[in-house]
Amino acid sequence: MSAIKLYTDESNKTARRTGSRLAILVLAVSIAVFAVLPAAAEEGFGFGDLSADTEEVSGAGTLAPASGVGVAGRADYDTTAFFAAADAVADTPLSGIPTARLDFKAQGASVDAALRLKINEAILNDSPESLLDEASVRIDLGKLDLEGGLLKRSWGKADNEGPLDVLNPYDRSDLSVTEILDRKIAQPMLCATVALGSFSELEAVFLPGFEGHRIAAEGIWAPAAVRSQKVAAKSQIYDGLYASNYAAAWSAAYSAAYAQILALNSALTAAQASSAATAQAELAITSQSSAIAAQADAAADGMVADMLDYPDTRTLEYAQGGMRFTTTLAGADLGFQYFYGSLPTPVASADPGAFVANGYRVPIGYNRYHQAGVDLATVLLGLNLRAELAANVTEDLEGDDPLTTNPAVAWALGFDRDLFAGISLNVQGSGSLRLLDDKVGTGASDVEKDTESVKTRVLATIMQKLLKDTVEWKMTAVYDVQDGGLLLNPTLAFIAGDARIEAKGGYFTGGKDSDLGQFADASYARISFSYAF
Amino acid sequence: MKRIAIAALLSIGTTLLFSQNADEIVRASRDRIKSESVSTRSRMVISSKDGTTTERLVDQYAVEGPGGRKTLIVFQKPASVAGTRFLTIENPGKSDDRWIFLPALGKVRRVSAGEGSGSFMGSDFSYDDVSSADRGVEEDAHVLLREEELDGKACWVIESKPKDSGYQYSRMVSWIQKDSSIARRIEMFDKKGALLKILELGKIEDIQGRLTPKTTKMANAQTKTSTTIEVEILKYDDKIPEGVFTTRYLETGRP
Repeated sequence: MSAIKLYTDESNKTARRTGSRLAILVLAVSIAVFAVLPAAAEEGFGFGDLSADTEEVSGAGTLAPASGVGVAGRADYDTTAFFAAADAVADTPLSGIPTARLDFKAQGASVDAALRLKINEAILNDSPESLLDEASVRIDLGKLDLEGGLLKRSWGKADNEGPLDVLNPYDRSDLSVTEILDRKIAQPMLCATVALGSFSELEAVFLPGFEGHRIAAEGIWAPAAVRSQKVAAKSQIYDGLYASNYAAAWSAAYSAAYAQILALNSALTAAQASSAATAQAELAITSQSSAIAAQADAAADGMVADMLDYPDTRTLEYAQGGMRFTTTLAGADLGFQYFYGSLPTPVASADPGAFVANGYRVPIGYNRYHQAGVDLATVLLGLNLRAELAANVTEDLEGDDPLTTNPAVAWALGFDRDLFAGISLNVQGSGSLRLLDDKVGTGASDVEKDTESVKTRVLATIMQKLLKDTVEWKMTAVYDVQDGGLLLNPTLAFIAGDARIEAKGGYFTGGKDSDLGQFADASYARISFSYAF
Repeated sequence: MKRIAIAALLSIGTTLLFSQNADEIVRASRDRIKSESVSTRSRMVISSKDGTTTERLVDQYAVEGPGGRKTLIVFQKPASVAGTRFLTIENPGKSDDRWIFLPALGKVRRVSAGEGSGSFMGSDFSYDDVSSADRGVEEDAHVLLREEELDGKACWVIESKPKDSGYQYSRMVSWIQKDSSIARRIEMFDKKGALLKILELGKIEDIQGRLTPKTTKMANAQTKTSTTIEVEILKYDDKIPEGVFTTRYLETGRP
């Protein structure tokens, strides 16, 4: 018995729809609140932001405050080949996805608003509510900055999924998306930031709801655990359904066909009946049993989807909030934060007794937790060092609650450095250590049973820009120390002004049981074209 | 024997005199413009060997303060890097503080000075070249080689050899215009002594009472590439809010 971590498309859609409605509400509240607040005096300087449509003014040499309305964006087209899905190179299936991103920005003396739309065929067909990628209003009240809307906001110093970056969940339904901000899912939130001197500030954030990480429920990016549990659950349901509900129907079909044979036998000679009637009867039986099996299959699919009972997390019951203080001291940037919210990975008991007691449904839960964390960035021996440390304190303070994950310590430590000839290196280690580990598994169906108590992931990127930054190559390796999973992402890009042509690969290996190696069949090659404007 | 000694002393004395003059000429050239702040918008045109060009548009704001210089660079074009902001705060006697905001990362990162000889934004300028106008006079040994005309202007020709052997150039030769102290041309030589780059300053204009070159061209003699920086807007002593030179500004774009 272990944790069930299924995540259905339906629950994602519901969360997104509710999230979008909540974001619009937060945005409306933000606008209403900000509209009645007095505007701070604007200290105009500089030449303005080109995206705010101020080039003409600047060209005249006027030092105008940055204000105006601007549109920017990016158009992408990429083609991906998943090699494991083909027997031969010529049979490799290709998928092409054109995507457009549009950024609208309006900037006034003390207020600015931003809106980002992301449009592609999958979003239009499957989740039109995701068209709104980000939307925010911000007001500058001098030392106080207020912001609200559907936001992606980064906490902590780590470059890649640091333990302190807790405000936005990640979309892990497509592991070929490697840019950190593209993986983040914008959340409705309200933020207030107070400047305390030139290099210190205090930030408070309130999220009226919660959304967990998105994980593919099916397809090439569905984790093996999800697929296998889904298949096992479906198989059991299918067998049960077939035996109980469809056996009589199948039997009736067989009986009808058999009666047909008998009828034909009586009408025709024995020689004719044995060939013609038997063939006809077999066709009828095959056809009817296929139809019955398809009905059972569809019913089992529906039951698997329905048996996972996701809570409505877009309610104040799941509200989250935190505070973060940052400062600079003696050549080091420091951050201290507190956060109270829900862990983004769902948990559920696979205890058969509970399953039956819940009416053959599996209630999904998200553990509440307190986080206290500290981070540091400094330069040491030419290395740009970054570190994060967090204590995630769940409600399982004894360590023996089967439906609650144990408290844990999480960390990240990394650096980057320019080497030579335009080559740069970026390395980050991160991981977690589960506390009270000896209590795990003592419960009947502990959600952490048979899982690693220590997790360590190392991510390294080496890259070089050549020929006046018109050519760029990059190799990223992600290695999970405990299970040996490995991901390699080589990239070669040609840049011509605002256009970029990129060839990229993703190679997963390290064993079917590892977090990364389980996606070996999803190894891919991709060519993408993009134009930023 | 006595004549030889006198000649040697004269020679040493002459060299010292010339080097002292050279120091003063270089110092006068580097300290030529006094200003509390400088704001510029510049277009950088990078030309490859085959003649194709790419452009960057960069804003720079700098203030001089008792604690040292503070500089903010904002990348405006191309669109792929627009919104990137880079802040440097000098700390006398200590390492500079540097931060960069990358829109693609969504956060401010503290960074080190990096590789001084590395290319600045893919141009023919290195990071050291960009900050060479602020290079301390005492960091090089300067010798007045000769006096000659360049483009019809009388110039001192001065050779500067870095005292730090780790510096990217083995020597620099500068043509400094006598009547304005503007360095009109600087030739830079690599570690093997071969000519590597040629810097030329032109389009001199009087801006707020200061003679200012509005065009700077760096040509690489070995790769046959070049980069030209055209200053589109320049303003001295502009009032720049203190809040601009903060990490908060890097993140929000508001002082």
